[in-house]
Amino acid sequence: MWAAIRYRRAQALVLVLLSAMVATCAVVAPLYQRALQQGQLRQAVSQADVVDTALVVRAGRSQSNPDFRSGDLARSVPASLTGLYGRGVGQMSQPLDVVPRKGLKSSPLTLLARDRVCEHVRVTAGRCPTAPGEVMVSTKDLKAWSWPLGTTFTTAIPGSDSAGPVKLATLKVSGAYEVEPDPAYWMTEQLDGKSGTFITVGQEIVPAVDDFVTAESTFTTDWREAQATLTLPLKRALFTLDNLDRISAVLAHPGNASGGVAGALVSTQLPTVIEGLRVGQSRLGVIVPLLIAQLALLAVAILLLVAQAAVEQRRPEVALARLRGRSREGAGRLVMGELALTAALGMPVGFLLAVLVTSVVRWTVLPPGVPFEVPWQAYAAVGLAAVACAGAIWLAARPVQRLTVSSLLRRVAPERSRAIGVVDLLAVALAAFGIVGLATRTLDGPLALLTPTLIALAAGLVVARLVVPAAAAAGRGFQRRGRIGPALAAYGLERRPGPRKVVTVVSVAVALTVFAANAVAVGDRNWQARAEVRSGAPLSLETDSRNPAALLTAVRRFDADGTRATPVAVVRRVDPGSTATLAVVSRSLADVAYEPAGQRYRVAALAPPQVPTVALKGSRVTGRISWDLTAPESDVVTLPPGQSGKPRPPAEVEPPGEPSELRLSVTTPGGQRLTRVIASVPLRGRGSAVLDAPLLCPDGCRLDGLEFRKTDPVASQVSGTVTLTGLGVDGRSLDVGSPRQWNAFVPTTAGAPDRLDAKQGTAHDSLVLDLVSTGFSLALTHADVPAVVPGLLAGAVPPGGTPASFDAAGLNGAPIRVSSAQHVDALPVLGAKGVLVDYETLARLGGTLADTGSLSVWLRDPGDVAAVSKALAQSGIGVTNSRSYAQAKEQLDQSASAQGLRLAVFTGAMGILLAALVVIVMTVTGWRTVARDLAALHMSGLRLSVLRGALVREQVVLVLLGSAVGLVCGAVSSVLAMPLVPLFDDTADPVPALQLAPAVGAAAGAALLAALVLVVVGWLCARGAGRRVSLQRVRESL
Amino acid sequence: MTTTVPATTSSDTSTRRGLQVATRGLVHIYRADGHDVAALSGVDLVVNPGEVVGLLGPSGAGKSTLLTLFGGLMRPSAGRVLVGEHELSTMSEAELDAFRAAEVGLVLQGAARNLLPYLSAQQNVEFAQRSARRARRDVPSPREVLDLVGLDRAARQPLPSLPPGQLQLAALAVALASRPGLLLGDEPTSQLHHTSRDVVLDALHRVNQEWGTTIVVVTHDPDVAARLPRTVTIRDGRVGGEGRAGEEYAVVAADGSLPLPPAVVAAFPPGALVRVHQTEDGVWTLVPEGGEGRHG
Repeated sequence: MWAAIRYRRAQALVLVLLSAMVATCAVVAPLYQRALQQGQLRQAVSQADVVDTALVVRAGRSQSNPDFRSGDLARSVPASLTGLYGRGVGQMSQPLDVVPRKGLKSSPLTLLARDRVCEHVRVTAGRCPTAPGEVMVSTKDLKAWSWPLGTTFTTAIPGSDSAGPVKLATLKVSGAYEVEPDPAYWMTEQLDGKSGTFITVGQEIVPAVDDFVTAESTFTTDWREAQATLTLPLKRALFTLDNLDRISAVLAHPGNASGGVAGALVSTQLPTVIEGLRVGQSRLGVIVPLLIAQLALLAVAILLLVAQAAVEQRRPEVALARLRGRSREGAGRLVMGELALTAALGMPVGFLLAVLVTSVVRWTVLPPGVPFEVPWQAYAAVGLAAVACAGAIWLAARPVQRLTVSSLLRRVAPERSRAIGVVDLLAVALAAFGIVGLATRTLDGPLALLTPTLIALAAGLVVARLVVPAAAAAGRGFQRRGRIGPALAAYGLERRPGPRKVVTVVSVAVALTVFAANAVAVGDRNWQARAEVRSGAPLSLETDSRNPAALLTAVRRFDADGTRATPVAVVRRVDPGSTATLAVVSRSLADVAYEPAGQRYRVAALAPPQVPTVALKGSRVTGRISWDLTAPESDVVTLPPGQSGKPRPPAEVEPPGEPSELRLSVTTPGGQRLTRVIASVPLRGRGSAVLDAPLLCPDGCRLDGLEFRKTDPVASQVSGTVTLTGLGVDGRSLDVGSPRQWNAFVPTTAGAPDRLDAKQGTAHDSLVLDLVSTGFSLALTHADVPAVVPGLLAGAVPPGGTPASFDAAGLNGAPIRVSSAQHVDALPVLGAKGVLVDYETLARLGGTLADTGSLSVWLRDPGDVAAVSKALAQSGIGVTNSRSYAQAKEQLDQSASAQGLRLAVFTGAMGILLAALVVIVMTVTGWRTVARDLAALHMSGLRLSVLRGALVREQVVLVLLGSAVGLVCGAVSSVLAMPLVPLFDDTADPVPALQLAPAVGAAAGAALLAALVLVVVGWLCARGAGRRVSLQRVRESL
Repeated sequence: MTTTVPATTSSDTSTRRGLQVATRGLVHIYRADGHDVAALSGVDLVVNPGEVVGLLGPSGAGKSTLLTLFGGLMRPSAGRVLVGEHELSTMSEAELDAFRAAEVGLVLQGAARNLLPYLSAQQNVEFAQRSARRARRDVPSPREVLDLVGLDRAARQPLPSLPPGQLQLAALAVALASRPGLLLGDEPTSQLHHTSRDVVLDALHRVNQEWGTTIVVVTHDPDVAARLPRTVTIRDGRVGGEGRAGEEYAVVAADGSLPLPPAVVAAFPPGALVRVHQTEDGVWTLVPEGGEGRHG
């Protein structure tokens, strides 16, 4: 047997390589999957905050439980969990109010006692508190308030009045601290950072004070509302893949603690972390088999084809064995033994190759610390590969075993067209079934995974069959035209079954490569899209600003034309499911921010009005007012809003004739909207008067609008005109007489006859208000801010609204009316639910940012970060954080789905490699026969160059044909099967929507590369075989 | 490779004789592409044990088919083939395998087709003996076989290094590996020059004389036929004549038909009416219709 293997050492080498690749394909899947799972686990653990994985026990003192300490909470931890967590950090705390300086209002702070706190702060003055009532204050507060050591604060103990008079506690400053950063100890606790700032308490703004640190003994039984927490950090070394199931089970059913603190709440975010890992694992469980199944099917098909070729080559040896008395089985074993031994040699090689490939992935792609592991599945996989190889060899050898001795002895192999036809039909049927199943989304399971390869296999087999008549016809055509070379190539294609198999294999390999390249490209496209949505712009700088107008001014200082940066405000409401507001300078959006692919934002609709804001600076509103109003007396009186009862006829109640009011609405620099009555006009009649009313805007205001209100409760309606001439402040005209400076009236109630229309007066600077009022307040808003702000809406219209008008949160938290100028699929940062409005428009309304909002700056070029930070700092705005597209993309690139999909690179490369091996094998197994055939033709007078050229042409045509079929099949498979590939680790609906259209460039490029490699290999093989064509071959007997 | 005969061997190799070969109304039809082609159409032939017979005849006459049927490689369409005590047409496949392993040796046309190219001549002989050894049949040592055909010096050389004549001897040795009672050779001397041809023929005679092996060879070569004691000419699937000691005979078939020699067929074309007379002096004459009689 060894002699036989040595005799065909080149073929044996290729067979060893082929079986090695089969083993590599099989083994790399479990190795890669395990390594990725380990990588995901390490990433999840390393990126999670300590508190996210910690076990937290919380309890509050109460009447029934007035005197426990934080250490007592340890008894509340179920015994099953204690082994998972390390030494806990206990803390007692109580929110307090202290007066930092006599005469000031009290400031809120937290008094806390934390285990080992003195080891985690730097004592800058005095000493750590040890006795009850001693406290340590922050160094900043000590300086800011000039508290000498020994300063005392007397404060009421919260809850101490429940059983009698309120008790007071005296806190004495024993020292000052500076926090030493240690996330593992402090977790989310933040003692300092408040000193020197102001906070809003109720309606008042008070200076903030950092927390006080004290000894736990301070919390005597008088502190009946003190809160205790015990935070136990996870022993991360225990958190391994092997322990994941056990930890999950323990967390799901922790059992009860014995003797714990009543009412203690035990919680941990660890199940969320584990759930994230599980989702990632499930994604890998889909992606890895999907990709490997294609490769495995290709590898087994190739192995079968190569084994068939090898068995065919050994047919004379089988014949000899039968001739010398061997049975069918015995002769078959002769061939199978040799091939099986050769294939077996490839198994360990393939196993080592898989280990090497995975190790390279571990070193280059995965996070550090992923251990080298060979799970049992890897051994099972190599066993499976061995079984697959043995099965392929057995299948290949069976036809030869069935032949009679006389058939075996024939020089020309008997045609097995019928057997091949069955295989063809089976492949076509399965592929058709798979196509229909995938197209209708009714197919899953193994067949769905194999369908992409089955499509290519079926197409390849069919085309390989069609090659025979097509090549024969082409050969005759060439021959008639006297083109001997092409004719020989065509006849070669017609006659030789072995090389025709190349078409099938190349089809499958190229289809696999195309599918793999497309999958990676489509995945990357979607990761890019999501990263763009998440980040909004290449770089986003979070600021500590609360003033949208000030931020706009600061950004304009850096970027006057708004092409490189834009301020951005995000205002969310308390309800996380509500529609949030994103404000961006709309004209900068296209330059600075990412726009979603496939749906262009109609940002032009968001542009702020060209009407400038009118600033009101002064003390009195001045001008002249004239009116011409009527109030019908014969109509049935309609009750004003808010009154009940039947309408009464005017004969019964005469309108008292109370005057109507004209008001001026303004917004203060703080964003507050105020109204001032600037004139009263009679219910009916005609007249005029001088305007002179107090403005009450010491810091200046913005003109927001005018309001007309009928105050007479009996009159059903007032109509007519009110004319304002020379409306101004302190005698200076505001020049607001043009109707263009006012928004169109928006009725409060649909169908009501109320209206308030602005018209140009006859005199200069004269504004005519044409009105009908049934009792509603009629408002006419200044056109520097639209009455209904246009926005881009993603998701459903908020409850109570319509697309034309719905409520959204303004920058200062007050509701604004918004109309949907475009319904979009997704918005930056907000995702699938939110509304995008123009920042400049909303900034005109003034005010400070809502508590639930944040202000940031988006940059087109991350390289501008230093310049922007400097410009912001000059305006007193600090940068608190930054978030970039690159970070978001990297995060997605490290997801389980992305890393799993990278296996496609391996499968694509292996597909090409396997196909190249088949080309080589077919040459190695058939070159002697081909050389003899061509030598006979050479003897009859044909030039060697023509013969060799025909050989090369034959090979190249096969590869190109297979590549073309593979490209088409790969494209079809990509369309059908990409929905099977999970691209993200979360299970929510993807935002933005998945874009699964084939990546034409990547697919064509991959096909081109594959074809190029295979053509080169085929060309080299054909050249090699061609060089062996010589006259001596005619006489060759061995 | 040991050549020791197993202790359980039932018979001594030196006592083995050549096998008789006999056919009765042997017919073989090839079926291909929907057409039936009769390769043999009623062959009656007896080859006695230890006899050396050459099968002659034009291409397509059925010589190789006859040889293949003798070797048990195919089953006849009709008729009987007896080799020694074996009726080949009724034997099971396993019995035919055992028959080929021990009783018959076949040399295929073209030396290379008989040999595993990656083994030496001795290893090829050992390979051919494997089935017989497994069946605990007595077989000669490879060296003995190679000595008999005159290839002892080249026994271990790689086959590609052997000249054509020695390759043919190696093929002969492989066919004789189990000391068969019947040796069948399909053109064993084709493609050999005279010297090599004579070497091979000498080896065949040596085998016949030393082992008593019955030998049937197919040949086109008149020189080879001249050196054989008996030749049988196959024509159109039937026995067309025999040559013994240089004399050519027509052979009366079992059905009484008599194939005429080619020269006579020219005088009596197919369809001609012939009267057969016996003259007064006992000579049989063929008289064409309306013609003078001819003396046979």
